[in-house]
Amino acid sequence: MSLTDLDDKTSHSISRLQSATDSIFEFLSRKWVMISITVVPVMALFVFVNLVPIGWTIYASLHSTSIYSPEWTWTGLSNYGEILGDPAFWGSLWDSLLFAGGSVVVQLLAGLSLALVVNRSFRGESLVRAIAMLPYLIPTAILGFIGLWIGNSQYGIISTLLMRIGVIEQAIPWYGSIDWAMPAVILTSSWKFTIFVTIMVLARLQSIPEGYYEAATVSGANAYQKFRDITLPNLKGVIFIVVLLRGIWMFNKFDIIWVLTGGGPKDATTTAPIYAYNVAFNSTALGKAAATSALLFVMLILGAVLYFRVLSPEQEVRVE
Amino acid sequence: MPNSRRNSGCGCNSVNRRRVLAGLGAAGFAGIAGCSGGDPTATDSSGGPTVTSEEGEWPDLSGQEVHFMVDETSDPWRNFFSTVASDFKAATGAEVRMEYQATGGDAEDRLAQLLQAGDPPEILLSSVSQSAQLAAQGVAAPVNDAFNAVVDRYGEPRQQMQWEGDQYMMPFGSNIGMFFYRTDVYDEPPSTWETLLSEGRRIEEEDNGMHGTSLFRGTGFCTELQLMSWAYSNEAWVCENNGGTDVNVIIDEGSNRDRWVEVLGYMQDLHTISGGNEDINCNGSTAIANENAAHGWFVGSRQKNQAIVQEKDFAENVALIQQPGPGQEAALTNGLTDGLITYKGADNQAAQTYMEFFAQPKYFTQIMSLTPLHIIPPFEGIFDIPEVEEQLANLPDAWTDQDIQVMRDATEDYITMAGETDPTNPFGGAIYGSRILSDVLYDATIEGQDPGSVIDEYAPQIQEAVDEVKESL
Repeated sequence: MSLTDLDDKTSHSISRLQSATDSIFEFLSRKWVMISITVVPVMALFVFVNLVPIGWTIYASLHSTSIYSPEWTWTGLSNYGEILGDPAFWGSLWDSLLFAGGSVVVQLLAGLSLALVVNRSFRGESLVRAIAMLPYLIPTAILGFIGLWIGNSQYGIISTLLMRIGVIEQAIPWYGSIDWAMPAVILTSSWKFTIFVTIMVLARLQSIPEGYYEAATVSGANAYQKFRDITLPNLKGVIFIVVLLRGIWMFNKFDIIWVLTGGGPKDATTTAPIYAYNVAFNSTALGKAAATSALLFVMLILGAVLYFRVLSPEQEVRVE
Repeated sequence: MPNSRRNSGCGCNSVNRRRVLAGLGAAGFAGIAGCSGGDPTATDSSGGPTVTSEEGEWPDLSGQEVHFMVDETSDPWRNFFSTVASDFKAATGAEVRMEYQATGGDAEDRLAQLLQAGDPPEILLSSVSQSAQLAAQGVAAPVNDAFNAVVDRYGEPRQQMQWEGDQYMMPFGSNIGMFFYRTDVYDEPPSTWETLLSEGRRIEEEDNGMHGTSLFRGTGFCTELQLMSWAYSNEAWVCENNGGTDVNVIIDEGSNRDRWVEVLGYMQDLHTISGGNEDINCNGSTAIANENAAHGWFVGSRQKNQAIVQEKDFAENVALIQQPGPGQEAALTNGLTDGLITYKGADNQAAQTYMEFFAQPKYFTQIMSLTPLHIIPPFEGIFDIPEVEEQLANLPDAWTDQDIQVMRDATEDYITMAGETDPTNPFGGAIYGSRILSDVLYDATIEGQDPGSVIDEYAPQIQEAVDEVKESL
């Protein structure tokens, strides 16, 4: 075989390869193919993870059924009537709002402050960030038990410490007192979830051009003025999103409250999700529990719509 | 103590035969299972094929699976259940799929999933209260064959779960409400309500950092179990059952209300010698070991075991005592009974074979060693099995013969809320789950409200909790 023949063969192979590649790209560029390999899997996941359970819950809410029995009896909207007529439901709704509102405020203030601190360059910055991240990485149940341990009135470090420095005279049963249980649960859950706010805010802080601050410094602005006129306006968008997300998530929060107090003492921390759980697993009324969940779902949607309508956060979020 | 209400769910149809067999004595226990030997191709009483292995003669269940769900996560218990599963497979050819759920409700979540999906587990380790509710709901399946076979071996168990003539639970073990006190702190045993209070007050006045007792007042199951121990010691009942599911709450009725008022009044007295304890529930099982109190209660032996495990120098001074009563010793107390149950739609034959297999002396002996004297075997005769006697003899020195005897005696004087009524109360779990009894105690002690008013306020709420579950039947 001559060298010319070899060149021809190579050239031919390259040409065929090029042609095959073009065909693949052309195939992939077709709209229905792109939709099939990008959107369809995500949509399928969304349908099975979100829509099917939502549909199942709404369907279950229209039936009377025990949690332990697969036999369902159609009851229409009567479960909704019973739930809406139950004072315990409205009490739990108030507790949910209290818990969600309190948690968002604490997490926002603490998360924002922490982000401003760790945004600065200092020695051990990475270590501080890692430590701040730790509670978020610990499973909620474990963090809850740690909270119970350090908050215990007999051997917990918090009461012991406060008594030693003279802040309190006798140990406080943080999770067992009607007065303290809700604040204690809010603070414990914020201990875990504050870092989410920190991460979001920190990401935004690091994208603010340094030149803004340099220009402000040249113009004679002090630290507070720089925060008010540069940092805060740039953070508005992320704050709106964080408030919405954390508000919804804390409103729906179940696990940490369940571990810390189980909804007690008495009804002090019986939030709506805990109320729903009790209806499902104690009263064994799956239909009613589903109706409760469906009502909470509708309330959250209405809350989100109102939030967007009134505060228009989308105007604050910069799309770049 | 006379107790006309006590119900062990007696399966009276075959009592005579069983008692005769039980009367054959302990000598038979050691050789009950796994020693019958015989032809590998033999058939069992139902005519099915059997296999003979080192474990004895058992039905051939090759190709079948037993799904066993248990809310237990500790390694020793997992190892124990795994061992039984392996042995069962070797004996019958059936696979045992163990599913471990965390304690505190996860098993109930999972059970609900499986039942709603029409795929119930073959076996669940469950409380007598839960099994009663599931039987009443028509979800659980009877286990008469396995139950009768095991009763033929050991005699009647201390507690049973019988519903409309059928047995629904193979007893596994019991935790009995026991009291523990420091003999080096108490001058005389707190064996009655009165001596506990007077001694407790003396200890409280000494102000040595230890409370006279540890009365749980946090919201939760253990707080309610403890309250019910005190209630039963005064013959104060929660419910009456007029048949089937016709269960009524009677804490606010007649002389029973008076006894409840006495109990809550006594709880108010104990509150004064018990520290705050508003956040103490099941975590109060370490009250004595942590030196918070010189006297404490728990279902099982944890108060003492904790002192031993923590190598406290006073561990040998922690003595057991039965439930004190008003003016009397060794009163009736509260307890828990767990057992194996199965479900309609599951492979009940395989499930019952497993239950029968499980009820071998060697496994009860192992249970005793996992947590000494904490889970008490459901059959009195098991204490006479040589291996169990040896196990008890090898307990840490802090466990005295007197302690062991007190625990054995206590097994005769406890009931569960399900067994409080005759017939069985299927709503005991619903009452505990509602946490209303925690609220009763909270208001009477922490809030210091009048006991009579507390009773009258909460009685309708407890009835409501019962009625809600009744609606789902």
